[in-house]
Amino acid sequence: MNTDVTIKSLCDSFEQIKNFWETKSSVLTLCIAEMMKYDAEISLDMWCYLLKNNKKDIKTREGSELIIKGVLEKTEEVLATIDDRDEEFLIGEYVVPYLAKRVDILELIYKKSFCAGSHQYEYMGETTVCFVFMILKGYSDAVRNVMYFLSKNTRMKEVSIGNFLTNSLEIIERIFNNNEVYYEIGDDIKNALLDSLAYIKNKSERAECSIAIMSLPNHSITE
Amino acid sequence: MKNVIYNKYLSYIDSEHFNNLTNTLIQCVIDMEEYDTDLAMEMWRNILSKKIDTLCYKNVVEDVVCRVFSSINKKYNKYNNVDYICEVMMQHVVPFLEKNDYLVEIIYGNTLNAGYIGYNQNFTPICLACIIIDDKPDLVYRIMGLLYKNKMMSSPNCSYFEEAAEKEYNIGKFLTATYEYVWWMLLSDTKKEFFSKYRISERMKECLVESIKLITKNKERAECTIPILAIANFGCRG
Repeated sequence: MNTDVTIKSLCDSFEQIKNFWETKSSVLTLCIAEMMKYDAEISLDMWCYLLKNNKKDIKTREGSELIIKGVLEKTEEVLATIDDRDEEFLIGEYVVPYLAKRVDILELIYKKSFCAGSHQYEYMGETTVCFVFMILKGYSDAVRNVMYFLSKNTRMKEVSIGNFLTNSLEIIERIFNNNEVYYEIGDDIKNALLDSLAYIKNKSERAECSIAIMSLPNHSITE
Repeated sequence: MKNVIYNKYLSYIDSEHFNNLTNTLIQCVIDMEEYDTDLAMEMWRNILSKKIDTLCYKNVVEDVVCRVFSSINKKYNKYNNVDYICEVMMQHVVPFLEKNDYLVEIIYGNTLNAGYIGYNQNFTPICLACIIIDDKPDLVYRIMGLLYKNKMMSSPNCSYFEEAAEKEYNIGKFLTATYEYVWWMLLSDTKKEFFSKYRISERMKECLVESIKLITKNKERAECTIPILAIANFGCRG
């Protein structure tokens, strides 16, 4: 099917059912994910509409699992049909370049949602992965925005901002050590992370994050 | 033994107490499947046609539809786990659906939510996914037509809240589940060995897109279009 026709069909379909998240969540999630193959900006517009119009959902564990984690997971699955790489890289390559510029969505996820969509038992929550790739791809403004929004999130009940940052840095270390892709971490990113330490109130967490940031290599190791 | 089973079935199928003998009759179908699959399917079809007015109730669907699928799965699922269910449906269920149009009509067209009534009762989306990747466009088109006309999609008689936020097993969810099984069979590491020879052919993609025209209501068309396009464009870049 012609790409333009597909995009139009998906958009028209989304318009018809966008106000029925409660009963059509699986179809709407698939729509956003499928659109990411064709037009990331339209996909994020759709997602933003749902996030804005279902704010009570993003405030709860169950709701945020569906509307935040669920959308990102489904997006990874759909992107996996066109790209063989590990799913975490797909979010980094296809979604983050556009997500980083969407302050409205970043605020909804990292400031307004339950635990910024990343829960206690998840080492690699999808929202953590998004943040990781904002760091790896050098989106310093987005990194600053996310850390600011996390500091204002009153629903971080299971995951502290310090833990969120520590997890992210551990993931970066793992990615750096797996010799697959070359990434650099420039001074602007390191400065953004260091400036964000001010938001971490717990002293030991702040110290731990400070060490981790200072220990970050400037680039990954590749063969 | 086959004759014993069949005679038992015959003595009950036209009994005046038929409605109280459903479980026994379904057991006859399950037992007969060991000996003669074609005869078992004919017996099942007859039971379903007599129960057709009650296939709008979740407990009836569980007893007379899901139970048969479930027993076939248990019998042939050599690993005894949910991961192998797609292979079982492809090898042991799809072939008899191809030969039994009336069975297809009852299940996909006249059963509550086309038999998909809860998390572990997902046999019918799996079968549809198998038929799609097994490249049978005529059967897919037939099933799509039946699904679109199934008046019991998301019937108020079904309120099975297996997944917290999805309160209705509507046609959009049915087709989205079908897409997920297509994905699983074609991309999952555990499936690749068995399903590596299957693809979604170009004529199947055309058939799927064409089937959307069968839907007349805008909102239903919208919720069907999304998963159908996702299947039809499986593996296609933008």
